[in-house]
Amino acid sequence: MGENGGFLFPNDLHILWQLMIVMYPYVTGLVAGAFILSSLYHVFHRDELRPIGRLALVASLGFLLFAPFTLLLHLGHPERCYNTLVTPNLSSAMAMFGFIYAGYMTLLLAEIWLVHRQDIITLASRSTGIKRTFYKCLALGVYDVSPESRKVDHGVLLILAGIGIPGAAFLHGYVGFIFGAVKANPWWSTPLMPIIFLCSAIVSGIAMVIILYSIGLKFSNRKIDAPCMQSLARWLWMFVLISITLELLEIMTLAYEAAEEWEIIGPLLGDQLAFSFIGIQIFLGAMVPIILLGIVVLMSRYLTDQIRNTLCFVASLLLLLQVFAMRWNVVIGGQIFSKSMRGFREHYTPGLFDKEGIALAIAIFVLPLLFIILFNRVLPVFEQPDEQLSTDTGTPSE
Amino acid sequence: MEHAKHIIRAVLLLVIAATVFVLARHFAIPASFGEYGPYRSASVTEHAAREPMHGEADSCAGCHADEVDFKAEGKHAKLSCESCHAQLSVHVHNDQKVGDMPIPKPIEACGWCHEKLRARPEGFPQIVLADHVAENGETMTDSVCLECHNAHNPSE
Repeated sequence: MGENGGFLFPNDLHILWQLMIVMYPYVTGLVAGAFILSSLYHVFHRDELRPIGRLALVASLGFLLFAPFTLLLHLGHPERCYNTLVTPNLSSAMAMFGFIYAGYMTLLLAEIWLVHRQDIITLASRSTGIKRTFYKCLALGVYDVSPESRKVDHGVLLILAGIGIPGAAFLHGYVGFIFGAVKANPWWSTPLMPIIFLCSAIVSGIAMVIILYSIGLKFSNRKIDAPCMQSLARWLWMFVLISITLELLEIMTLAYEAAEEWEIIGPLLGDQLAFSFIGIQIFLGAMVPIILLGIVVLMSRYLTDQIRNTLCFVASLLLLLQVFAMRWNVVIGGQIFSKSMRGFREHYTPGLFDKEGIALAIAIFVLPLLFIILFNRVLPVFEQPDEQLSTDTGTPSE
Repeated sequence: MEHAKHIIRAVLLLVIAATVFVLARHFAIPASFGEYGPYRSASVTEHAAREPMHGEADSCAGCHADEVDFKAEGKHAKLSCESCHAQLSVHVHNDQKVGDMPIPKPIEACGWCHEKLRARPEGFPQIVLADHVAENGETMTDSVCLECHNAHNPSE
C-alpha cells in the first residue's frame, strides 16, 4: 500500500491525466491547424498563401508523426497499442483514435505526395545511384509530368483536401469531444468543447506555420513574402478572435447561470489557475496578440515589412503559449478540483525527467521540427519561385 | 486514364496495405475475442480460476477472535484488517499459516487515512502528523501513534 494509495478513502486525489495529456491535444491541434491553413491555398485558392502551402502540410505531417508518442508515454506498454486497431471498440470514442489517426495519416501522406510529385520526378532525373532508386520508388515508377497528369493531380488533390478539411475538423473536434463528453466533470462537459478545441487548434497551426516560415526563410537567406505574411496575420487574427470569444463565452455562461458547479469553477479560474488562465490564456496569450495582429491587419499600409514580420512573429509565439495554456487549463484544471466539488487537490507540477515529464514534452515538440528539417533535405518544403519544376528536365529511364 | 497511371498505382498500394492489415488482423485477434462482447471471453474463466488473494470479512476471526471483537467495539469497526496489514494469502493458505502477517509502521499506516488532505471531508478525523506529534510532546518515531492510540480500537 503506497502513500495515500489503493482503495482507502479518498480516491480522487491524484492528477492522472498529466503533462502528456496536455501535449496530446496541443500537438494534434498543430496538426489540424496547419492542415486547415494549407487547405486555404489548395482548396480555396488563396493564392497569396502559396509560399506556405507545402510547409503547412509538412508541418502537419511532422506533428502528426509524433502525436501518438504523448499517448504511448501516458499509457505505457506501447507494445499493446496495435490492439486498438485489431480489436476496436466501436462504442468508445477514445478507442477509435487509431482509426482516425491512420485515416488522417493516409490522407496527409497522399496529399504531400501529390504536391511534391513534380519535384520527386525532377530529383529522380537529376540524381544517381541509391538516391535515384529512392526517388524512383517515391514516384511509384511513373514519370508523367504532362499538363494532363498535372490536371489529374490537381483534381485528386482537390478531392483529398476537400475530405481533409472535415477530416482535420473531425480529428481535433474529436479530441475536444473526448473532454466534452465527460459528463461528471462540469469544467469539461460542454458541447462547445469540440468547437473551442478546433478554433484554438487553427490558431496554433497558423502561429506555428508563421514561426516556421519566418525562421526557415531566415536560414535560407530569402525574403519573407509580404502578401503571404499579411494574409497569415489576417487569418490568424480572425481565428484568435473567434477562439477567445468562444472560450470566454463558455465561462460567461457558467458564471451567469451560477449553477452549483460555478462554486468550484469560479475559485478554480480565479485562484487555482489565476496565473495560467487569467495571466497567460487571457491577457498575455490572447489580448496582447490580438492588439499586435490588429495593428498588422488594420494599419498595414503604415508598416514596413520588418515591423510586420516582427509583430506577426511575436504574436505567433504568444499564441502558441496561449493555446498551450488553454490545453493545460482544460486538462489539469479539470482535475485539480475534487469530483465531489468540495474542494481542491494539491497543485500539479510535472517532473523534469518523468515518463510524463518536461524533458519528454520538449522532445515531442522538437522532434517534429527536426523532421521538417530532414524532410526539407529530401524534398523542398519551400517552393523555388525562380525554378520551374517542370517537364523539361528530362525523365529517368524506367 | 492514360495520365492517371500514378494515381492508379497509389490506390493499388493502398489496397495492398488495407489487405495486409485485414489479413494481419485476422491472425492477431485473440481466440475468444468478441464471443460475448468486445473482450476476450476466455479471460473470465482464466481469472475465475485464479486463487483469491484476499480473505472474507470474518476470515481473521477464526484465529484472532479477541482482536476482531476488540476492533468491532471502536471506530475502526468497519475497516477491513487487510486495509492496514496485507492480503490474507501472505499469511494463511489452505488454513495453514504460510508466513507472518506484516505489521505496517503506524506512522505510515495511520497517515494513509488520517494525514490531512484537502480532498477529505471536514468532519473526518485528520491531522498534520508532525504537528500532532509535537503538540503532544512526543518525538517522531515509527510507532509514535501507539503511545496514545490503539490501532485496532483508537478510541481506547
